[in-house]
Amino acid sequence: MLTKSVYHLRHGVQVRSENFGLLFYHHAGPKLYFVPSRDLIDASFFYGESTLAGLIGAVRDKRGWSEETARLRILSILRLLKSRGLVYEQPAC
Amino acid sequence: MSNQHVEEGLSAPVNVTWELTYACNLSCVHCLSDAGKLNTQELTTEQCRDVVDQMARNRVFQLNIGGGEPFIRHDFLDLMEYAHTKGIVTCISTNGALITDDAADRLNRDLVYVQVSVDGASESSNDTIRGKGSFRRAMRAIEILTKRGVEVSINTVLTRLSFPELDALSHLATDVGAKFRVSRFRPSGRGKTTWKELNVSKEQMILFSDWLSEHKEVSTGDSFF
Repeated sequence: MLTKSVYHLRHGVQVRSENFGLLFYHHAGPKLYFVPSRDLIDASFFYGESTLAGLIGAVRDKRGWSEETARLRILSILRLLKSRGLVYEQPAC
Repeated sequence: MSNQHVEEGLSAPVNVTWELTYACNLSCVHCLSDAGKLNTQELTTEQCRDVVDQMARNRVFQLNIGGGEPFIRHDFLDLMEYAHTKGIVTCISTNGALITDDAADRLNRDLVYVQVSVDGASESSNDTIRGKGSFRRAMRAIEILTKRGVEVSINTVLTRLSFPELDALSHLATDVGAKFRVSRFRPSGRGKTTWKELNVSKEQMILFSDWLSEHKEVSTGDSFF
């Protein structure tokens, strides 16, 4: 996973932020995925052009974590989402 | 749905079921909405667009459209297109009678799913419940939709009349390239009047449960889709 990457939703997938984290919807089913990521990743990350590096930096600053801790926490969530076929990674231009 | 996060409360519904109109071109004996005549209190096009806007703002993922017969509204396809521009998935429940090639061409197959109501596997058994000509028109609608790659399911209300035809209905769905769904008969609308006559017996309900266990591909549930 490249820190300059951006992440997009797979075709047919939508997401919104909830108190527990992220709620993904995919009509092809199973329809709903509950990701207990709290406020680590906002749903807008998957609709915008923010890079992984930008997200890690923002989490590091918000939580007062080290760069490495923020990176590991974020990457573990993104790996899960990729393995479920909900998002895909694309190198940023 | 049993889920800790759902029980704690979500920020908005995941899907919304909307009976867009009470007007209907059919008069099915079990109709839970007692649909038929146009209700003069129905929402205007602008009001409907505002409802869609509210759903989009709250990030509702899916809109289940029923009625009445939604295609009877002159602005129905415009409203579906409007919902699709907002990224909302629409699941339409219809009797299929008003689905033409032109109407189907306007449906965004990536964002629309259609459920066509069929209550018997043959013209005679279906039309006894849904009215003369309804079977033929439903089959025509399914053909028009599947030809365009729209995902279609056949929905059957479980009654004493449809119960003996479940296998045949399931095969029919497979033959026409549709999924199959069985929904509960409810004592509401005209279903209140026909309840005693049409509701399945306890024995039939148990047999239906066994049948479902053997047909995992068949959907059920009170909500649409």
